[in-house]
Amino acid sequence: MQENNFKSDLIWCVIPVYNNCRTVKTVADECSLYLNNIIVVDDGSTDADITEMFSGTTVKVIRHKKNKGKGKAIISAMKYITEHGGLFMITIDADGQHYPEDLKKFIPLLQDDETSIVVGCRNFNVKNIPGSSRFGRKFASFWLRMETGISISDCQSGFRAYPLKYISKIKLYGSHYDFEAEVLARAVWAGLKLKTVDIDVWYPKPQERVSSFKPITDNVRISLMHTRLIGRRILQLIFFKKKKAFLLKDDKQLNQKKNAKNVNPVSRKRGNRLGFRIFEIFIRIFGLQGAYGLLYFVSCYYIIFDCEAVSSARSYIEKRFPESGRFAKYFHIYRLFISQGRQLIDRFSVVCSKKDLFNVKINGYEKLENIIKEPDQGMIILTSHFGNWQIALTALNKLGKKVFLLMRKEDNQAVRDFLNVGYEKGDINIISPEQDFGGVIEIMNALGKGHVVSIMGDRRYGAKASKVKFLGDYAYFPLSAFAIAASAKCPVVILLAAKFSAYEYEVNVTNILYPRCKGRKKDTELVSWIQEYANILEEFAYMHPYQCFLFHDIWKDNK
Amino acid sequence: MMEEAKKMDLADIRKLLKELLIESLSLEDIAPADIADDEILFGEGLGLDSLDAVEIVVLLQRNFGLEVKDMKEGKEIFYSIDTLSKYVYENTRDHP
Repeated sequence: MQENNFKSDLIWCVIPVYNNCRTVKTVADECSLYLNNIIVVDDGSTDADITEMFSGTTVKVIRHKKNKGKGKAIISAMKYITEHGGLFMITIDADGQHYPEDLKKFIPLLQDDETSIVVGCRNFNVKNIPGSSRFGRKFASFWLRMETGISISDCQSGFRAYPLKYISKIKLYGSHYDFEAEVLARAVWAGLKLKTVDIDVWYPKPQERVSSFKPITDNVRISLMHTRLIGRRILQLIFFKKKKAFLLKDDKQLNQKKNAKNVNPVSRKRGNRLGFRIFEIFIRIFGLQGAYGLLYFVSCYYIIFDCEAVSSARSYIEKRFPESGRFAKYFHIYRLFISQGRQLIDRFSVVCSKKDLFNVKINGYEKLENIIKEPDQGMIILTSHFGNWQIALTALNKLGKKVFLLMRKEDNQAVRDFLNVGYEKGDINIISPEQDFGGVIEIMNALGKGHVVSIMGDRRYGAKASKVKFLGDYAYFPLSAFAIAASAKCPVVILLAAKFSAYEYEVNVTNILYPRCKGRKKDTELVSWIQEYANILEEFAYMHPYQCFLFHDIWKDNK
Repeated sequence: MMEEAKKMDLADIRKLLKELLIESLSLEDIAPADIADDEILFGEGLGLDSLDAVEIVVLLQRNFGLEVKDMKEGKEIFYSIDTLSKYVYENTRDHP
């Protein structure tokens, strides 16, 4: 078997096959010289009985009764391997164009690296390469570069190694040849790296070639996939939707690695800046209303393609409009997206123009003034994913107090860019909850000195929560803001900002709570104040149903 | 309390801190003697969490007039009863 015994049992070789019975056996046999675990995925072949062909060998055959496409075949193999404890999967084409011997080049690259996809880049300086393949390759590289900013010479190659721990967590939609384009783009967005190795390739004479690639259908599929990925990318740039480098986040060790290398902060910043520029120009030409108009299309895109976004909105919409049917729910979600888009545009136009564009009315300011008369009186401002809290915070800059925002690092920059417009430099400070004691020491110090601390009150991020009634069911709200207020003996001001018309916001600070508690059973002791907060949010949700941007199932107890 | 603390030695401060912790964190069914001097307060050991850290911050402030500067300092001070009492002891002495 293989000379280098490193984890050889953790690496599986996958050969998807569809009507390529003449070559698949040789490919599989040669692969088994280098790896112990070989899977042939028979994607509904009709030319031979693949299962029969491999009976009595160590090769595992997975069969799809019907032809589902190369992407689905790879996903089936991935599931099987993950269930059997494999960590890596190397895919190789069944038509014999790849040399199994090249597996040797992949294996050492997988050592100690679960965060890279290794792509075998084909050497095209050989005979019989179809012109369409050469063109396709250039074209595909161009798309990948547009989608991710990363350029590799052959991103259509089917000879690749995937780290399953992370790849299996990415949602992939492409089921045919579009899978191979999609997986690279989404993997890069998720924070994985791409590595390449040079491989040789053999193409038979045209009359002998058996390929299941259907030039028209598959090219259309691939084009659609690229359109979709590009669309998503542009929206990311415009809306600053963070690249979801979510995969590596959970893992502490990898996290450190990531900080060192994987994530490229420069490109992210550039993305943001590009987004700013596009918007700035657009708003200058078409005005705010013009930019709003774009949203009808953008939201359509989200509704159709972004299942994740739709499902994240669903829990709220179902609670708020329980009587709605399936289509009505989609319509509510569509309106919610448009409304959120408007508020995002509002925010960015404030940043771009560096001016107060909006007429912001504050309700209850006198009450607030009474509290802050005392220079040493700190207070907690409780913000929510309801309405536009950033705009609301800028309206409070006339309080003349130093403001600390409890905010995760990943959200910092965009928010800071935004808030710096309204505040003097140095008035806005960020406290990260992702540190020991969740930032409470800094919070307590700030409150003790009479500053304002702003905390998001409706998203718990795994923290302790109280169960209270909200929109007809029990929901979980984090109790930390209330507990801190109780200990520091300071008030909790609930800050809500609703958009009334294109240029008008109304900020409400009339709700001020004074939570108190003794003892450790804080979740039950503080429940009455948290319920009051939930009631205030509920009222807001009834008045402004499309301004509740709770893209998270708070009714589920996800600790 | 602040004046009294100045006169206390390390052992007294340890005892006092244990009592204060039990009181302010309402650690029912635990007596001061049950807490070892080197018991880790957060995470394993006593198993306190960040909301308990709030109480300790308040406790240090109210009883000894002490303010923990930042998380880094907090991490060292809040490690165990030992580290906590050393911090209180050192910071309540009158510096000539």
